[in-house]
Amino acid sequence: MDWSPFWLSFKLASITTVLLFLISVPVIYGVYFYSRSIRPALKAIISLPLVLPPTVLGYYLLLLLRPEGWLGQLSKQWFDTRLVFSFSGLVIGSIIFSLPFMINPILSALENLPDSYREAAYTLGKSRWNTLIYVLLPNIKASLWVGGVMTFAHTIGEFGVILMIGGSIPDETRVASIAIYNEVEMLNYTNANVYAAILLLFSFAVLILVYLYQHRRPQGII
Amino acid sequence: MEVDLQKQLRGGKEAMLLDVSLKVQEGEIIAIMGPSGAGKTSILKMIAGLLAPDSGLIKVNNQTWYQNQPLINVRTQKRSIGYVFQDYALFPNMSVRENLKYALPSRESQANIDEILELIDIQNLAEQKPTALSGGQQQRVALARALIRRPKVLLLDEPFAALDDVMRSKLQSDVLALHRRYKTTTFLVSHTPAEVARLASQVFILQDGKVVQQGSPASVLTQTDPETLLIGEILAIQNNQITLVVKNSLSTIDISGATAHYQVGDSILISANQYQIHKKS
Repeated sequence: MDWSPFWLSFKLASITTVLLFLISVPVIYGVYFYSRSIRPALKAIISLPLVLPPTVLGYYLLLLLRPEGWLGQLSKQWFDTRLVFSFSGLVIGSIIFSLPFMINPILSALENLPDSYREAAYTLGKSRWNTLIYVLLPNIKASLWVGGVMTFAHTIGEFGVILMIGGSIPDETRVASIAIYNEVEMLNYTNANVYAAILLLFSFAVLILVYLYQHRRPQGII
Repeated sequence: MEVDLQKQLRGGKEAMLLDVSLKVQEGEIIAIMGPSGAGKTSILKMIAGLLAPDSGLIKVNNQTWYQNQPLINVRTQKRSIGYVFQDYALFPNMSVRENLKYALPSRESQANIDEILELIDIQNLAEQKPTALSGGQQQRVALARALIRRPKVLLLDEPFAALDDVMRSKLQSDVLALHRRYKTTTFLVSHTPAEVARLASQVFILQDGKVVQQGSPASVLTQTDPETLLIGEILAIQNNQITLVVKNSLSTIDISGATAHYQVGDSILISANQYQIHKKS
């Protein structure tokens, strides 16, 4: 049994979660503080990956990441790296694909906090950044955890987008979900069974964790 | 201090034009009273810079915080204010001491924290989280946090509404003590005439966004009907004794012929010309 697809999935999910969290903070800052009139449009763009078929998202990502594409050219010039069919390409794809899973719980928790927290911090002379980092985010820790855990789990289960932009290169882009697909294609049901069962148990365990946490802190997370 | 504000407010069903002009002496406590939706909180928020007026002028100690021609609108962060919110708005992730420390500009001495904790008698709560405190304790912390930066203007939005009478009275004393200490110009939004009479030197009665009455609490709050002493609802009648619910308390009064004339549930008004007042020996 080859365990490398699981290791690759784990690596992809960890990197995606950390990077996406770092990217999310400034995105959330912009959406929360500056977008009163265009907020519905921004939220719709962020949530697109929830409803788009992964193949559609994967197709546009492919256009963007291929050597002639905008990001592909940038990456070639600056880092001399190819993005399609590479691990770095998968990270970019996963970040975009998991965007709503990180941002939506955090944003809705922020919107549910009383306005008076933000206003009180302003009256104490604090800037928006200071307010976000020291007052608002620490009071929605539960949602930060949920955002992180959901991003991680969602990246582990990603399939369509990866197939479109990553293919199935061993140790590079062949993550667990792709490995299952390959095993089935080769009629290797024993391996497919084990891989599938592991992913099923993992996903179930993650959701149980999230809902247990939510149950303990009933103020609503997702 | 000059506050002159106009703003079209869209609260509830109808739009309403808030148009007020308040002249306040430095160091004075003034009260704003009026029914809900009259625009009381909006006035505080505009003074704080949390809500932009359509036009007007806010001037504190010869410093202009807001004017519309030419536009000056000092950011909330740059206005020297302390704001006590209706829900206190203490930050749950910080202890009492951390809430006060966060409020203090970084260069200022932390000795101020202990001083103010002591002044309003909450030293023993310093390491508690706000959620572990009672309403009255939270209120005191909120007051301390608003005052620790020594603001020029203190804004109190119905600060005692959720408290029982004993706690309310204690906190009113705290506000007076703090005011004696810091002499901060204070705006108090309140529903309680007794509270206003005790704390404020000037009161503005607001209705539908306009000031309908203003003056000292003694003149404004009593001029509506000087003869009315009690208005209450009859709870029980027994042997010509009537038990009345007046506001939130009960009073029992001897009235001859009460059993024949009144029944439980009647609302009655007792005025001075029918009521005999005896001095207690």
